[in-house]
Order: sequence, then C-alpha cells, then structure tokens
Amino acid sequence: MLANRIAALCAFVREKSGAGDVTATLIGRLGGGAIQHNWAIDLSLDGVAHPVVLRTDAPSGIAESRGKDQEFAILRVLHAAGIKVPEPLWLEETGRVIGTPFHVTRRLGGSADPRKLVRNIEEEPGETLARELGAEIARLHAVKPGDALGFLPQPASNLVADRLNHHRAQLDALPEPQPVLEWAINRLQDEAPAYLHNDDRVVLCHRDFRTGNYLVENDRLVALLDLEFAGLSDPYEDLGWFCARCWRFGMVGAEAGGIGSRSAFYAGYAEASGRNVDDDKVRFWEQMAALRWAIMALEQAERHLAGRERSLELALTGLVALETEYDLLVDLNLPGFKPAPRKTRLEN
Amino acid sequence: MKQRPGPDALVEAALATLQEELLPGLKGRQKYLGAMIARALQVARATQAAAHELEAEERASLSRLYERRIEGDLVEARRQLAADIRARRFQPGSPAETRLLDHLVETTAHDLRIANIKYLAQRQRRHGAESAV
Repeated sequence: MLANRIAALCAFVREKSGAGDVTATLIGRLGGGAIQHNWAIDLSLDGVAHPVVLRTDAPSGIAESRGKDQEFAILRVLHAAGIKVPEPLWLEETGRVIGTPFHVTRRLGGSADPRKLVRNIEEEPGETLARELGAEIARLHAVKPGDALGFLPQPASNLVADRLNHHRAQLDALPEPQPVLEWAINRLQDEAPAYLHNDDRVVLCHRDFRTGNYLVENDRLVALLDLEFAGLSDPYEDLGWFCARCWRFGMVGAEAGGIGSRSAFYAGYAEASGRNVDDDKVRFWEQMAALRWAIMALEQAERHLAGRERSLELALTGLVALETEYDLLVDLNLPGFKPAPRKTRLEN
Repeated sequence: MKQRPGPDALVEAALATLQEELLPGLKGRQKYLGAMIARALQVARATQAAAHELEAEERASLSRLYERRIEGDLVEARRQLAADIRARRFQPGSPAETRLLDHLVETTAHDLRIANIKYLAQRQRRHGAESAV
C-alpha cells in the first residue's frame, strides 16, 4: 500500500514542511507493532536527510488503542515536556494521502527488540538502564495533561473495580468461555482493598510501558515508544506492567522488565518523583497486568480468527494467553503475590 | 475416505522440510515468518495427537469438580463453569474451591504442555510454589 503512495506522501510532506524538493525512500516495516504498523522512511528535504517513522493503524485493532490524532497529541505534550519520546512532526488524519491516517515522527537510533536486549545486556548496564527507565516513567507521570489532552477520559473513582468490570465485559465479547480468567478477576476483586490506599493518585500514564516499547542504544535509554494506550490511571499500573512476568521475555530473575532488578528500577523512580515505591502495590498491579495481557492476547487471536486481519502472528499470540493463565493460577495463590527470591538475574 | 498419507504424516513431512531445507537459508523477517510457521505446525501436530486424551482428561477433571459425571459438549461445560465462577459458587477456602483450583491448574497445564511445554517445564522446575496450588 505505502510503496504505491510515495508521490502522495512527498506532496504531503512538501506542504507540511514548506520544503521545495522532497523525496522519500521506503526502507521497510519496523519490527513489533501488532496493532500499529511502523514504517522506516528516509526523507530528503531540499537535500537534507531526515530519517522518520510513519505510523499507521493496522487493518484491525483492539478497542483500547487510540487513534493517530490522539497519539500524536500525547507525543506533542510529552516531547514539549522534555520526556524522551520521538519528536512528532506531522499528522495526517483524513486517510486521503496513503489510504489510512498516519503520523510521522523523527526516527531515532537504537533498538527496541526485547529478546535481543534481555539476552545481551550485562548485569551492571542492566541496573543502570532499569534505574534510568524508573526515572523516565516518573517524569512522564509528572506531566500535566492540560487542555491539549482533554480528550483523555477521567477514570472511575474506584479504578481497579472499574478495570475488572471492563475485563468481565471483554470476556463476554470473546467467543470461548475463560474460566481461569473469571477466577483471576474474582481473586483480584477480593485482594484489591489490601493493596490500595488513600493516597492513590491518577496521573498521565503510558499504559504499555514495557521492554520492547523503548529504544536502547549502547545500553542507554533513547526514547519511550508506542503511546497508543496512554491515558489517565494509577501510576502503579505502569510500574506493575513493566515488572510483570509476561514482559521479562524469559529473564524472570531480572524482575524489572527482564533487564534489571526491582531495587534499581524503584530507586530511579523514587529519585525522580520524590516518592517511595510501594512494592506490594507494584506486585498487585503485576497481576492486573497479567490479566490484562491474557485478555489482549485472546483479542489479538480473535482478530485473525474472526477474519478481520489474516495473520499467523496474531493467531499464535492467542497461545500466549495459556502461559499467562498458568502464571495467574500460580502467582495469585502465593502469599502477598510474592515469589521466593532468586539469586541471579539470569536464572529463569 | 481412507487417506494415505494421513494428516499426521503430512504435517510431519511439511515440518521436516521446513526445518531442514527452508529455514536454514532464510534471513530477517522471512526467517521469523518461517519459525512461526514451524511453531504453528508443531502445535497443530501435538494437538492432533493428544486431542482424545485431552478431552477425556478434561471431562474427568470436570466430573471430579462437580462430583457428577459430565457428558455432552465440553465447550458448554466450560461455559457453565465460567458462569459458576463468576457467580462465586466456589467459596474461597472451601473444599469446592480446592477442587476448582485443581481443575483449573490441571487443564491449563495440559493445554500448555501442547502449546509450550518448555514454558511449563521451566515454571514447574524453578517454582516450588506450583505445589502450593
């Protein structure tokens, strides 16, 4: 699709940038992005090279995912606040240029490949990166959404109850019954009061903050990516999502995203936010994360099975739900959701 | 129809050809796609081989849970179980809940043995916690 629309894309860039001479070379589709498609493009504006990423929606999506216009607005607010995100350049929301809405951001160096990262990063740089990521998400949590993000829905006063009700509704929309996930929702409903406190905050959250959704170069954080789920939430949702077992990519001993320790990640967050991290609450939100991911995985498979988007990758994602269901059955039966401590980060 | 080669032999042959002759020569995204096809065929082969056993085990497990013989459509039985869980018919700490957990762990582990036996083995080997369920 995009290869046939290069001329239209160049005309769009010419209009938006004011450049007289624009050429575009399609480098290829970037990895990841089951819900969004990311294309690497080399632009030349009056002879000056501009590597960019063009991001579109996939042919089918899931309900939680934001449109390109809202994601672009979030990127602008975060970039203006100094958060490490790719610089947003242009938004096309009509779908008339390449057949679907898109936005363009500056392409940065580094890799987001989670499996390579967790396997290659050494222990000490991993600790530094975990600390850096803790600090960056704390800075993101401090950004005031303001009028520019007035479209973000205000969460219900009992956010956890609201989320769990939402998950029940998601289960109702799936064609197959899900007894394990029904049980997990019961358990989380029962346990929630013990983990939630009077000082619960609602802030701007990433809501897909995990290894695989940030760029790393030379073991250092380059930028946070994939803001399609961003919204107002409890900041612990981001911390739990980051530490959840399902996002450690096999390196379960490195409990902060498969790259470092909880203590380094928490320390980075505490330094940047001035708030200590409540470990129990993070662990509660890790189970919320496992539940949410299991349902998302089933929804991804359903996109293929219902014929909305033919994709073996989506079909196989449905099998991942089994792993997370097993995790929920084990972990929700541990006292305080706390597994026995491990000796090394590589133990898995 | 008496078919030779049967579906098992065809999947086996396709998988062997993919893994031995095609995959070693692939790179980048094509290698990734080839690996996904191999995984899909492996799961399909294992599911086909274990289908009857899995169904019998799930039926037996459900029968222990409900303390009566479960017959008929298994999907409907699962739907009833999901509804019973949502209606909180298995009280926390009760013998019924213990039977429920036994059933959920057993059936999930059986399915996971087909879908990703490596994951199941890693969890069971490294977490004494499994025995607590």
